[in-house]
Amino acid sequence: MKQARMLAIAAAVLGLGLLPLALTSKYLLHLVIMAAIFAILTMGLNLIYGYVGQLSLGHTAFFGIGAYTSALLALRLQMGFGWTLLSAAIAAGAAGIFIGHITLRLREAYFVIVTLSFSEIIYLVAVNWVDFTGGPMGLPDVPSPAGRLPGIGAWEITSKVSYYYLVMAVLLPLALIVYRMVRSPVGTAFVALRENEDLATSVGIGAYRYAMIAFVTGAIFAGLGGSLYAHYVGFISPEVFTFHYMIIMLVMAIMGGLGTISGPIVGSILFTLIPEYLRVAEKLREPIFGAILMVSIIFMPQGIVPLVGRLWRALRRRPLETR
Amino acid sequence: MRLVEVQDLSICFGGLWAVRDLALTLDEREILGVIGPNGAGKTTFFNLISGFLKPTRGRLLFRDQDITGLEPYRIAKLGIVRTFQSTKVFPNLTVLQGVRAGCHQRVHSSWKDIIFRSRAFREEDRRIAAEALALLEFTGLAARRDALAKDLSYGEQRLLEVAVALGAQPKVLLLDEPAAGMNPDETNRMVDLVTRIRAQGIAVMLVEHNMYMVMGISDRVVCLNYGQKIAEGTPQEIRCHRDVVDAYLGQGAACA
Amino acid sequence: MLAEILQQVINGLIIGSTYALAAVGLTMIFGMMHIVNFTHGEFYMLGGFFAYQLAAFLHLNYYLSVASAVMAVMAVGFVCERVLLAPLRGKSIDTTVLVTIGLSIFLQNLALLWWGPTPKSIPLPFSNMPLRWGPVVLTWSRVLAVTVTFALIVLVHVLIRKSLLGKAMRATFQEKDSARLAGVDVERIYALTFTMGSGLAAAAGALLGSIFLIYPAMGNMAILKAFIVVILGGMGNFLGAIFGGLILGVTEGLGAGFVSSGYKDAIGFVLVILILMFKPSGLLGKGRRL
Repeated sequence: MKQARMLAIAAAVLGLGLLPLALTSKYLLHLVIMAAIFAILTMGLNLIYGYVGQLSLGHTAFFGIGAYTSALLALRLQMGFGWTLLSAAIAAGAAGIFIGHITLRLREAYFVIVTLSFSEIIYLVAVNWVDFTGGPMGLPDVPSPAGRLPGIGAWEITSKVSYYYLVMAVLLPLALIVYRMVRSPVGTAFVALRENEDLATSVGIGAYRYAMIAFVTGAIFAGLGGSLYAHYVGFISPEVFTFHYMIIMLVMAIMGGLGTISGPIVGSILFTLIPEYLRVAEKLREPIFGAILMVSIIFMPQGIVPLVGRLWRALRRRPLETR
Repeated sequence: MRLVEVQDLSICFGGLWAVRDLALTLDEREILGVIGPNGAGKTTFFNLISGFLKPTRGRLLFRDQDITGLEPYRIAKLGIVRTFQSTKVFPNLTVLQGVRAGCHQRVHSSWKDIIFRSRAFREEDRRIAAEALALLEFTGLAARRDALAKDLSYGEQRLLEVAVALGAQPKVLLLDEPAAGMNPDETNRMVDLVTRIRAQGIAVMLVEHNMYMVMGISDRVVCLNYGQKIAEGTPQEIRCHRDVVDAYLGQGAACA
Repeated sequence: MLAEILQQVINGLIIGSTYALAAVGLTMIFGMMHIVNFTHGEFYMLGGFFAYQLAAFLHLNYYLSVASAVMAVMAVGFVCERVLLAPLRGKSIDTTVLVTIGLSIFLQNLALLWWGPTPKSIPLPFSNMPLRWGPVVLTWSRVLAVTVTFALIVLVHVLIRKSLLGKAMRATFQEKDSARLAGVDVERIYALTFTMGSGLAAAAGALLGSIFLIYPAMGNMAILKAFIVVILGGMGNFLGAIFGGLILGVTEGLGAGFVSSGYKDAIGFVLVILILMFKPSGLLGKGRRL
């Protein structure tokens, strides 16, 4: 059993490693990179919403903070990528601690509204503090990841293929961290709080403490995603703080499967690729997302991954076996 | 050894004293029954001891440590664990997963252990899995270990509640009407379970309306009415105590 | 200096009353029913657009247009409540939040596709020339809006506090099962309250749309302000909505005078955060448990 598992993982890693070579279209590779970045963002959202069960509408705040931190440090201080990435994580994490401290003790309805409020405030700051953030025009010409390593000298990532490997180098360890985290007593504490907070508290699980852990970890993930996004797209504007991105992340998280490990990844892939493939007119994209959100919440609240899981188990059951 | 000491405990809700000047104690290996009519303040009392409510006045001591005003999860960590009047389970977790959640206190792995899945973590994981299973055996739920909590019968959910609470390694267990809504068979199972819990060295405070259960297993009984203690003593003493009879029990044939 | 402050305060009061108007419907739905209704902004917006469609295209009398628009939106609200919200009633809050968010996106984009992005204005039956009254500038449409705001709020307050229906409503939202046992048709109350709330939102949209302009995204700001007002004034507290709206308006006005006006909108959010940190029951609340 364990061997089959190791083999499957090795095959998957190999497959991922060879993917850019197999893809013929640069555009497709671009989509994969965007899907991977959104997977990182959505994994973070999944921790606080999927596992702990608290709907945060302020996740874009951390995404944007990570993006702006990296962009500003790279543009104004010419910092290398390693530093900008780390700083993005720290800035987003600090914001997570601050916002979490204020919001996590509130009842859920207020948690929703206040997390949204924080995003709106930060958006207004990004738009108005023109000297610092570039205002509504944003920050153009964010340099691609570059740096200086001892022994190797200066390096820079310019091609899509190398960017793919960079994003994977961030995504895979983060996915592993999520995997280990949720399959540990920490993950058990998360879902216990979601399932019945009073009961969880009565056996010694500190609600604020574990919600904070999920929230801040999610914030750090979003910050890292923001940094990768800024360096990849090369341009950021206050738009990163808008509800538009929040909706995208929510749809990915919910449709993929809340409270599952692969859910965010599946959701990100589906909702990066599908809109492109359907060649849907830009104008219809938002209302369709809105409709999908409604439909998924009502009919498929667990998402695709658990659904597929059930199907798989149903198929694997031998026909003569009784339930 | 004195485990719990309640001193002048009072709580006021907008002019109404739900619990007033309550004083009592709980020693090791004791089963203390708490009886009284509905609205007497029994569950409020439990909420106060376990930290779900903060008292207006009074002190709570656990092993000589002042725990007044502490948050519920802290009090649970110290060793006082309660069940709830209306059944609380983790609906979408299996029975085993739920009890493992209850075993949260038993985990000592550090961050590094978890992220790097060290040997220490794996051993502890196995140990806790075994302990959770043992708790299921203890409460008679082992056969239902993979069932979702929301799919259990009412009586099974009540047993699960106790199993989850035991996971937290309580020194004091507060049971809020564990036999409520149970048929005689289920009640007997519960009585047996509570007796075995006491045998494990856990002190129990038991709020119950089922007199057969309360009088049968309690070492001492306390009777509350309108938030105040009106009588305290052995089951025999309480059974025929005038104030208790007036407020709650009514005249029985067994009393003179 | 003093004159300037006075001007800001009075402007703030006027704007504040518009916020209060936008918030009345949400006080009913969020404050009383505890439904975090993100579609509120779209009911507001549709109220404006329906009134526009009736007044500008069908040349219906202005007041009739507004009233009909309110009815039309109430029908929409009723359908939403029965089809989307009622089936999800027992579920956790995030379910209704997300459904109403999805619905709001859907409706907003529908409006965008149907009416286009260019702002429209509702033709008024009275002259809307600005009147000067000392340092204060007013228009008749604003006077109308303010008057209607106060009238509606007082009306709703009396309804909720004194009438049998109001009692039934309060009973349902405090203790649904006990209300049911007392003979209240709980489902009907939910449908009715939600419908009323959406109608109030539509009234706000139509009246304020007459002062300002009507465009598909107008609900976005309205709903955020409305949430702020409801929280500031106390959940379910209709008179508090007046108070909350005025406080918001004045604070924004004064704040914009001293801080850059771009940050004006942030003031409301900061107020909400502060209130929830220090006095969660709102400015007028009695410190009840939330």
